[in-house]
Amino acid sequence: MAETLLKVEGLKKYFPIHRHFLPGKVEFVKAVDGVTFQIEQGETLGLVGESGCGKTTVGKTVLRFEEPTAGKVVFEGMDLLGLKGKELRRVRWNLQMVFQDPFSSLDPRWTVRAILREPFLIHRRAKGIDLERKLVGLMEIVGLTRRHLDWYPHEFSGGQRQRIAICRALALNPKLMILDEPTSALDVSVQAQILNLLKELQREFNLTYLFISHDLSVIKHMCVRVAVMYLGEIVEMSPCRELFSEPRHPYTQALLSSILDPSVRRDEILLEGEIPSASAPPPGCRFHPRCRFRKGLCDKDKPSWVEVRKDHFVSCFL
Amino acid sequence: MASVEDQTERRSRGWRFTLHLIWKNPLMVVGLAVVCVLFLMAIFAPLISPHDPFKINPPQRLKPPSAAYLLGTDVAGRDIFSRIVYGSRITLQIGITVILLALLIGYFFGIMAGFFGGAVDELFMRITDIFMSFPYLILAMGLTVALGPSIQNAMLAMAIVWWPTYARLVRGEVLKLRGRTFIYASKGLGATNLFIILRHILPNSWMPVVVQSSLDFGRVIMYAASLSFIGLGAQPPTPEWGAMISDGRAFLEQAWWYPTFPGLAIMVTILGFNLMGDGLRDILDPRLRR
Amino acid sequence: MAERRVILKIRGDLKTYFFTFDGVAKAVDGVNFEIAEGETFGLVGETGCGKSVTALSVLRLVDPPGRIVSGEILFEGEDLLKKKEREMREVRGDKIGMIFQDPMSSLNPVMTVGFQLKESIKLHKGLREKKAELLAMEMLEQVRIPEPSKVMRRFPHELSGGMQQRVMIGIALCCHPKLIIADEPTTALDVTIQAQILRLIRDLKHDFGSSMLMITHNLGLVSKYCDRVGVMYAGSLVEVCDVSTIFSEPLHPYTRGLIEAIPKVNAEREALPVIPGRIPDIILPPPGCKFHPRCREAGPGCPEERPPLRQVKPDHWVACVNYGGE
Repeated sequence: MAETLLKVEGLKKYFPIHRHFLPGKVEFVKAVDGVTFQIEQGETLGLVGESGCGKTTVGKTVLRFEEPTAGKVVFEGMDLLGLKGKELRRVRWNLQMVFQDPFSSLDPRWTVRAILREPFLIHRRAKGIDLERKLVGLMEIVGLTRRHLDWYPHEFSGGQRQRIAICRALALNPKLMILDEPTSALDVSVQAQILNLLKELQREFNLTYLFISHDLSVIKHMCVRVAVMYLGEIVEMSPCRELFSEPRHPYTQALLSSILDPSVRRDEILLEGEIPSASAPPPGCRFHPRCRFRKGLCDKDKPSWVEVRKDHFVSCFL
Repeated sequence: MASVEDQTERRSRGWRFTLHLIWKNPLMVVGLAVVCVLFLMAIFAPLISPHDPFKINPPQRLKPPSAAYLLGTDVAGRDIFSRIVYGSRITLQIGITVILLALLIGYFFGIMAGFFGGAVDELFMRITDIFMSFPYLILAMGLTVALGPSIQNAMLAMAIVWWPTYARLVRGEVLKLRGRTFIYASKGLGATNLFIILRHILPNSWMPVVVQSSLDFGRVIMYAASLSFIGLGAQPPTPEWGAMISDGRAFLEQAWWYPTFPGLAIMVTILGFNLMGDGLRDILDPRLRR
Repeated sequence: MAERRVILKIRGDLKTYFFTFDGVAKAVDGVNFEIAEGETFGLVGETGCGKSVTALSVLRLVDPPGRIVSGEILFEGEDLLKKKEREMREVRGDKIGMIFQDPMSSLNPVMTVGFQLKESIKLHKGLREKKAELLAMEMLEQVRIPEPSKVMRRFPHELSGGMQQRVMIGIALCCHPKLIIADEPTTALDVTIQAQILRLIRDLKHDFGSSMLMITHNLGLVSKYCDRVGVMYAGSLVEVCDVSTIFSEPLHPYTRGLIEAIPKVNAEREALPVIPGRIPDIILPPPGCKFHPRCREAGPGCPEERPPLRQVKPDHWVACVNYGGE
């Protein structure tokens, strides 16, 4: 039984909407509103949802790029939220993130060599000649060469930049990698290369992934378990295959039906209306205004988290 | 392992492209030329000026331009050309000192405000606002009077008046950078704030600042000349161009060259820096960034 | 078999080149195809393949240093490249409507939605304020925007992405153009909204009897919403056929590679089949067939000569020596 690497409980992140001179109540954007999940060592958990659902914020909050408003994050038994300053910085190399936009995740004024040396520099593990060899080794793992070390980010294509970003994340052998839409900005053929690379790396270095994406076909390819998010909450979580064969939550069903996959002949479920704003989520079940199975109590109470099948959880009254 | 083909190396976009852009912009070339001439004048002043700018020579006073005295002489018989050449040193000195000082203060405020945000931002920006709400020249004048008229005090006064612009500019750049993911990446690797500021923010924020500095140079010189003109900056016998205009004002009718040439020197210098600054803005901005 | 009228016919090898400091970028390098009345033609390809530039060329919106170097663009029989700018302005928005990718940057942020709609209407139909207002409201209803009278007074940033795109569509289609050019109309939108918008575009197109040139990188989208498809690579068309054929019998190695590289919901594979290498530099493309360095089926003749688009079956064209068929 693999051990739990990351455990997230009741994570909340509210962003206040500033109103300077108005006294009284401040409104909040409830980007993440009570998210709970865990990831075992070596597995890949997918986090799926559209824009505004909070999935990127979950990633940022787990890594404490944003301070959570409430909740617990436990990594390897250690309470991440309790760490301060220096302690936190010392642990950071273990949880790395690969970002969506390959064009802004590398400092344009740094050479690749400098970019890859940064992790070593920060943690004072740079040892001269040893380091150069390590850097070249890292580059070769992702399919780049020694020559590329002297180049600047703008001289590379999007796919190559992502490789460099992955390289940087791998530099200190992290245990957990949070991948935030790593291939959304890339072409299909490049995406395939990067996804294959990520899978190989996972095998070779026994990595654990939290894979965030809006693209369900990519999630299906990469993940073992999936959590579907809508407006700050997880509405369904199950093993990957099952989510696709037996989706329970109406939102998941609609999401699946809108996949534009040439091999799929699925009837489209058209959702009415727009995605509501996270500052004023609908009462009761947040999805109810757009749900085609809407019933009387859907706008009054919140549905509870129910295990409908083994390891398959849904939050819905059905 | 997915293999990646070797890239065809594009023609080095660095230097050649920059030169190409400069060439396409003839006004900038003019500006650059003026600035270069100014620097050369300052560096080689002793070699270029035919006479000692400080030597008083009463018999030769108020002589018109001639072969011996290229731009004529002033009321004390000093060669105006030589004084202008030596004056370039002072001009450069003032411009560089003021801007450097203003940059130092402004950068500090700007980074503090932009990087840390929240209350720190509010505090620093309110202080900046206070300074910005005074009309430049009046504040500079007031400070110089308070500190005592001299070039050093004039420079100090001007720097104090000038830094808010840079603070605002830097803050804007920092805010833009703060959201860029490479900053998060650095943080995610465990970098301290100081590291991020020094190694990531500074190198990425200087470009608009350089452009602004170049454009400001001209204005600084103008203000310095104005302060000297009213007697608050350079004191005699310093060959500062503004002071020279002030001295020569009374003699405009009889010796037109006296105030005119220093005035022209100021004008050409300011124009040169402005043209160069405009050109810099075009070059540094999006084109070099793919 | 009824011969459908051809609305758009690009022939004579359309070439649009960009003359840059680094060299000549051959963004569109010899493209020919046609679109019949009422048909949706999908132009598919990855970044840099030239599909957007092709659309801009049709509308003659290519900015310097780009220039259309050769070719003919026949719209309803008339060559658009021979028209004067003034005449083109009458065509744009009226006979050919364009829907862009990012509504936020295509809509003017300082004018209300209503103003922008009416502007287009007044320009092309010469109507006055009151009538234009009515028509604008009608258009907003047609694009299924709730409470049109309120939305008319809103500014673009006050609307969500999906709504903005609907407004864009309204502006593009208010004059019932014969040809709609949609350049990645839903790429910037969420998946569930995407479905709504694509349905809307399809329905409107049907109602108005227009043809459509749909530009996208998403093959899945093409499979659902297009009748015929053209695959572009590095500035040239490599395969043209109807939609069912492209998925059942793709011929060109690039097309096949592209389809295989998409992760499929129904298939489960450990590693995705990958096209090795990268998209070529359009300033210095490989000699001969531009795809040959990455092609598993490349033969000795491939670097010699660029294969033209040849008809292999009725309505199936391929640019590859291996499938040329003679």
